[in-house]
Amino acid sequence: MTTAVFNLKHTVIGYLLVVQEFTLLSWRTVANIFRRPFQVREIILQMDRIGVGSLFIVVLTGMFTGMVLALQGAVQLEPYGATIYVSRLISTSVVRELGPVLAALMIAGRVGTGIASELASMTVTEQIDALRAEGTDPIHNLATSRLIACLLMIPLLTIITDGFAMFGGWLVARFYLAIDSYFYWTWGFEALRGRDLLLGLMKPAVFGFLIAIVGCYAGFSTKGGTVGVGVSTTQSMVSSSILILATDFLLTKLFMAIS
Amino acid sequence: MITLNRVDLALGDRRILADVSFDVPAGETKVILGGSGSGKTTILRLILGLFRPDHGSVAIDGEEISALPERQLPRIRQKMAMVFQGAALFDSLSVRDNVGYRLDEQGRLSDDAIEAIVRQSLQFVGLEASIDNMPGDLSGGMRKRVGIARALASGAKIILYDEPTAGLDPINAYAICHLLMQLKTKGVTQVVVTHDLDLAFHVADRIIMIDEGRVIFQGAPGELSTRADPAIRGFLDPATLPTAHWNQERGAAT
Repeated sequence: MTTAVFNLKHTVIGYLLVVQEFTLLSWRTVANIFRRPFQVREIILQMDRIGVGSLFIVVLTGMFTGMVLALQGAVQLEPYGATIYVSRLISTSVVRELGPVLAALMIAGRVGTGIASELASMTVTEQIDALRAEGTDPIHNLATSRLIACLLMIPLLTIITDGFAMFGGWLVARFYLAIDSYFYWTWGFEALRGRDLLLGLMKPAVFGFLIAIVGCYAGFSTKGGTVGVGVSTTQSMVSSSILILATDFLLTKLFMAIS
Repeated sequence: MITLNRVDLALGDRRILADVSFDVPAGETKVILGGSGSGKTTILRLILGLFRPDHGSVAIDGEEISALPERQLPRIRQKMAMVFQGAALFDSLSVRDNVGYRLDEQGRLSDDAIEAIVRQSLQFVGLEASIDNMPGDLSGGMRKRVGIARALASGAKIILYDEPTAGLDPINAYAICHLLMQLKTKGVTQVVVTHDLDLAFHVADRIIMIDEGRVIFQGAPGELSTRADPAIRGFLDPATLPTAHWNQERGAAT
């Protein structure tokens, strides 16, 4: 019994320490955004890696999501003779929920794990210690540039995902369901409200923050050599995905309550 | 001048250092000897402020650093440079950018001035031809020499070395030893952590020996070989260790 209580106490303290370290890293990374010297070269490099590098997967994600939504939506709307409104279903569901969440999950898999494994390798090969020994701050030099790049590029990638989801839906609507292009695009855009667009852009920014910070935290806290690199990379993917899904629910609920 | 005064450090449940005190006057080369896991590298990390002692103090040029907040430590760290055991070169940067990293970050010098210092430092370690290479293209010995060039280019008056000859062939180990001797004549303060006795006796002004986190010897290299302490004798002459008899018997059997 005493051992169980002791173990529980240590587990709880362990989790609290993780939360404390994560919060501290978040705070220091954000605070460094405004600290000179600005890492312009590194930010551009990261924007290229995160933005241009992820373009292909978000295009495919968006397009196939739109195509599947069109097919499934048509099945549901057909009994009511409302197949023609399938673009309304696609645009609202993609812009509000599916675009931001699916793009973020794909980017977490590609970019978040990339950040975690790169920083983890630097940690186990003492490169992070070498940066500190050089009198520089690894958070300023490595984490802040990745955060800025994620904050700028993930909303852009989400817009591209949304656009290609609409395009994929149009392909199915036009060539399989024989819906007129004019009606598809007009009703698709008409269904969207300003708050949908706001929510659709706010969510990717929050997800970008989570992907960058979780990746950096997993990388910086790596222990145990090459095995540790693998553990950190997996940890980053799992934590980012769960946080993205949980935050999506909270943001949606919050937005509904406000509006 | 580096001063450690009665330093204790534990990591988790494990005691790493106990009551460690010594100083390194400016211009001196001090070698820290000891077996694997004896706490040698931890001492370098304490000097750099990468670890904080549980008790005791660490001072650089008279300034106590143990209690300084993290944001003030870069100023102290810029007085020093460290050559890591695996060199710890930045994989994504070329040899040129690695060596000039600190100067580039400081932003005080023009690109041409940095290039000149980088070339001079690489020339000193005999690697000017590798200036455009990436760290992945270099051998272990070359990486360590680039690490030394990086330390030199920083202009630091204190250089810390973690096992500078570990894993190197005798020729590369001699090259590193020769570089340390040259830096000694330039008046650089050096702290060398090693278990390479050849290197230690060649470069040391004074030697410290650590065993299980405690200082068991401090003095001139000549004094070390006269000590009768079993831990010292065992380290200097492994043939005196109890396991040596077993090794001899095994050798005779084969």
